[in-house]
Amino acid sequence: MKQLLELLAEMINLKLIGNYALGGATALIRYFEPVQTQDIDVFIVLSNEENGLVNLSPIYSFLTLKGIVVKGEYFLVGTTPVQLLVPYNALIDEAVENAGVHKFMGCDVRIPSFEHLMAIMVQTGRAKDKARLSEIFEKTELFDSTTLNSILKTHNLEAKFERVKLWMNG
Amino acid sequence: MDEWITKEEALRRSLLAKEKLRDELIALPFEEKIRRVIEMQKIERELKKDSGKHIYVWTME
Repeated sequence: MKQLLELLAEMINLKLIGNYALGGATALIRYFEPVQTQDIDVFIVLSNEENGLVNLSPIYSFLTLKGIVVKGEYFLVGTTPVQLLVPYNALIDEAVENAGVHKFMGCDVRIPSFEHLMAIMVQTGRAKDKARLSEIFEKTELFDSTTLNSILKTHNLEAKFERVKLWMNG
Repeated sequence: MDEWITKEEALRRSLLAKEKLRDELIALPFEEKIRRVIEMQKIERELKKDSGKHIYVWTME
């Protein structure tokens, strides 16, 4: 894990990426209970994006030079499968841009706010996202519902959230 | 402990204990939570070792 954070910091220094933030279960763990997961999702903002087109080659070259093994859709950083994802909508752009800086073994780690992660789960809407949201809503003291509602409104997710709530209430 | 309680009370206490444990887990520092994830991966690897499914076990480093 620490090696991954060092690699991400180096990629920022080399301007291979503009920024990054952890996503998925690993990011959620920052705010909620630890859960079993296999891979780490990392949203990366590319420095070389042009007209909506992206080129991941410089990142692949950098990681290969560092001895990182590519395994299908994943980079194997030590024993950790890592998936690098390019933010694919405005909500994720916003989540990455506003991510907070936390610490892990002396390294900086950028993690979106809890409310942004919740909004992403509403947007993604898979069964496991709804199940996690259902658990999170048992602990309303952990998040700011005004902030969450504002994010949902900005990204037109209010109707989807209502459907998730119906699902949560059985 | 010699205490006779109803099944409902036993269930209530059990759920309270689970909630307490959950709150303790939520309050752990991020680093410690990742350590717990790694422990879970080790357990899953052990449980699934005969199934042929590969379970990745991260390291803190």
